[in-house]
Amino acid sequence: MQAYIIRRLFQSALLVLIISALVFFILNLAPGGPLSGLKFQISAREYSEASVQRYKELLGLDKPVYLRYFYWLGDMVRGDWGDSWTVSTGRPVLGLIMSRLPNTLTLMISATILSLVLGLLIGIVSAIKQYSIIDTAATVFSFVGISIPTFWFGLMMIVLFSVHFRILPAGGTADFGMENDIGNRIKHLIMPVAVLSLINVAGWSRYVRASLLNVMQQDYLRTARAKGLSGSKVITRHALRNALIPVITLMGLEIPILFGGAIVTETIFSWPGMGRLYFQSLVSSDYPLAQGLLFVTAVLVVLSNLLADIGYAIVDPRVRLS
Amino acid sequence: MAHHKLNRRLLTLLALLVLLVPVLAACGGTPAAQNTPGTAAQATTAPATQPTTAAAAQPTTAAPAAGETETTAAPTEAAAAPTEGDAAATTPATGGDTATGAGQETITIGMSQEPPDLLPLFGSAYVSTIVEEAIDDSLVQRNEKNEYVPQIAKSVPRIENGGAKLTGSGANAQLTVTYQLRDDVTWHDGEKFTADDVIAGYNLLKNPNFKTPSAFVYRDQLASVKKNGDYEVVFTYKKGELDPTYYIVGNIGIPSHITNKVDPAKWDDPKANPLVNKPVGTGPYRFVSQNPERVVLQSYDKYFLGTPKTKNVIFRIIPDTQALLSQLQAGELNASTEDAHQINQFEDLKALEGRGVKTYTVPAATWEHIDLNLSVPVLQDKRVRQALMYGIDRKTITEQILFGQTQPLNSWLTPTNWAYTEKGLNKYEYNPEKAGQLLDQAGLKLDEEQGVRVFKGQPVTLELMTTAGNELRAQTTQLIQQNLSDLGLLVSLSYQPAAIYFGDPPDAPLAGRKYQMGLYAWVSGDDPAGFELYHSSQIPSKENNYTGQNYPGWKNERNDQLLKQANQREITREKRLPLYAEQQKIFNEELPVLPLYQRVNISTAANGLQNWKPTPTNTPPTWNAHEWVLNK
Repeated sequence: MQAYIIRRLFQSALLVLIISALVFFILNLAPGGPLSGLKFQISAREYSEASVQRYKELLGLDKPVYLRYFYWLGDMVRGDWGDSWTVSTGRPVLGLIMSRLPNTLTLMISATILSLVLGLLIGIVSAIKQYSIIDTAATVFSFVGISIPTFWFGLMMIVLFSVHFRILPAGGTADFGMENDIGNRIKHLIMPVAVLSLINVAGWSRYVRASLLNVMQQDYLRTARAKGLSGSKVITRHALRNALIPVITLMGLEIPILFGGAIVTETIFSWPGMGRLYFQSLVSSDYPLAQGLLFVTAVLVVLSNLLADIGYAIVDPRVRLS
Repeated sequence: MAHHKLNRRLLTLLALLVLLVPVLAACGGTPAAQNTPGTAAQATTAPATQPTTAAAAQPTTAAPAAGETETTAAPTEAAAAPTEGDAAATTPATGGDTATGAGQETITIGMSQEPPDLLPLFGSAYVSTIVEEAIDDSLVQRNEKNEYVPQIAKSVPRIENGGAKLTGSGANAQLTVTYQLRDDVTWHDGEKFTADDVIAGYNLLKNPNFKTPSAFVYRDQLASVKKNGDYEVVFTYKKGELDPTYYIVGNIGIPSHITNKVDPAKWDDPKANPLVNKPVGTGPYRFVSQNPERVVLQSYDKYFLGTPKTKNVIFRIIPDTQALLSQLQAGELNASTEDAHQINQFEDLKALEGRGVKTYTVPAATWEHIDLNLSVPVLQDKRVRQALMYGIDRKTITEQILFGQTQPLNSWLTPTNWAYTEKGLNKYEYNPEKAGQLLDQAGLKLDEEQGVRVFKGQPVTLELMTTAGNELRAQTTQLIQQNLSDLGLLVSLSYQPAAIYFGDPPDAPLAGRKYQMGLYAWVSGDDPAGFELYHSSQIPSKENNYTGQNYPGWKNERNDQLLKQANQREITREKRLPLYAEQQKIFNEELPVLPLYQRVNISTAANGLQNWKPTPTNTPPTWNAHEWVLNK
């Protein structure tokens, strides 16, 4: 197991390196960038080869792409992730990311825990009481939940609770001057968490239900029942454990999303998180910031894959990591 | 075993997909941004006609900004003062009850995006200038009538009033501009604003390590900047440099007592420049704090034009326009700025009038037009270009797409520009019959069977190109396509990502002159300029190293003479006005470009908010923040 983990870590490091290069080069190949359209932004008499060249030098863009990649990588390793160009001019990328991360984690972890609890509960009940009224209701709820577009649901909630009833704030993480008031913060969390959870619960409960139903038809469960185990024990000891494998796969993929944030939800609820930061960095050609964010995502995806694989081994003894 | 391997492969594949999505988004992302009117459309989508002016006009304004932390400046007051959000949400009508004067204590304004920086003299995004205008004042300032009025300076220095002088003539002509400064202006930390602060700005801008692509005036045109006592600054230009916007050259004051040791190359580095995290200005409002959710300002009691009437101004950043509308409706916001709205929201905004929210529209400095590539044979005939103009129903376009908030444009100058001369301009009111006749005369005969016009044996097809993802432009081009097909002209529409459309020559469609008809916008500056746009030496080509922005490729001898005279020989309005009047007549007759309309700036303010005066320029509505009062 240990050897396996160490080997996988090495592979992961290599993978991250390759991804970082890909990200860097693709980003720099894309049309756009700080020099694109410069001709339209400064007057023609100012636009000379010399002035463009000087601007390039100041931004560090005068060197070939591959050299810039190595400079960037070297600085990254030493903890200097560069400075933002356009989103928050001059500020260090790492600092920007760290300033948004707590907001995103608060939102995403709250939403994930809520969805996980609800998703598991609904999924299990639906599976055990297949085709009952509860199951049918859960099925309908899931389809509705999956079908509702996030932005529409979010706006409807704002119209209902902020505009009509005026009981919840329409956006932001806290009111001005009340940043340390937990109650105020929770009030701001309610709607975005509800929106995010709706979709997750809808999806996850279906996974849990399907997976559990599949497991419950297995021979070993009949054996477990035959040897006299109680219904609840069969479910918790034997069925659920096996049914969780696909859910772990899902959870593994969920980790990068936890850190990446949710662009649409964050935008609608004016939630200053990673998703919006990422979106802004791309639309305003802020390469240092976009590179930093993509790098974080890459590391997280690779790591969470590793965690998911290890997770298999824990819940499923048949999996041998060798 | 096998299926676990499979699972793992699937996982890796999924993971790669997750990674790829952002990368793909990156490729497609840029253009989307450049088209979003929210993101300072003026700056990105619409190339500026005269950005030097714009840049020079804005710089002073700024006082730098803010980290994610609050400053120590006024923590006690800040804690006591601004109320917003929750309080406003539950009792929107009353807001802050403990107001000092006649009005409410706090005005909350919605904007679309966090200001990237609040640094003075730094090429600023429109959202930055919104905040900067409230924090910092300039020597001279543009008002809602598009006129420059004195702020820190005692008067606007012009040749006409003796504030500027022109000596010699021709290559020896030399311009000197003298600003008399008020002696009662102070920075927010109490230091006096003096001539040294202006000179410090000049020294910064002319430094080659200062990170801006546009400081041409300061690097190349000025000979010296000297003070004469503490409250007089004299700008002397090099001989032969006739800067048409000389009267705003002094808008470059910075708090030199704070920045005198800052390395120009590190102007935007928060570790080197204290202004990055804590802007200090001379304006009516002091910077209190900034985070990704809001920028908080508080009135500066020693403001030289009198203590502002409202104690707190809070800018809230609300990226989603629908969410912003809800918050206006809920009374959580008292106003919203132009970056947050698009013309297609006009009717939604109008519907809010019953709820105490007033909509303000002003024709913008940004004007949409179609460049006609005069290298395309069929477009070389003046009658064809005039036929296009008669055949496009611009009145209907402005009425239906822009809700009648703007008018068709007949010149390349907007009616708010001082050099705009309406007299003698053909209005080209929609007249398909006349358009048909002109096309007939030009030899574009209608093939009755096909319903298509034929030129030299070929059916006439034209490609109309514009940026992708811009709803206003998409609707406009579709109506134009319909209009022209009624004339028997086949028009295909091509939507390009802005990064490609506005890309660099020789490959880019516009700058490389590889288009047929190109719809886009220019932002007109305070000075009419126009030399780079329409002088024949400014047709970008390989030979002239792609200099200039005369993308139609217009060449007209009289036009060349007039533009040269108006831009390089004369500097007084009195002498330039008749030159531009004649030039506009030629333009209006020759039509190398089909002017369409000015865009519309939309902002909102609560009914009780007095003195909300949006401008027809790039000057944001915060320019007169010290006059704002929000009635109780």
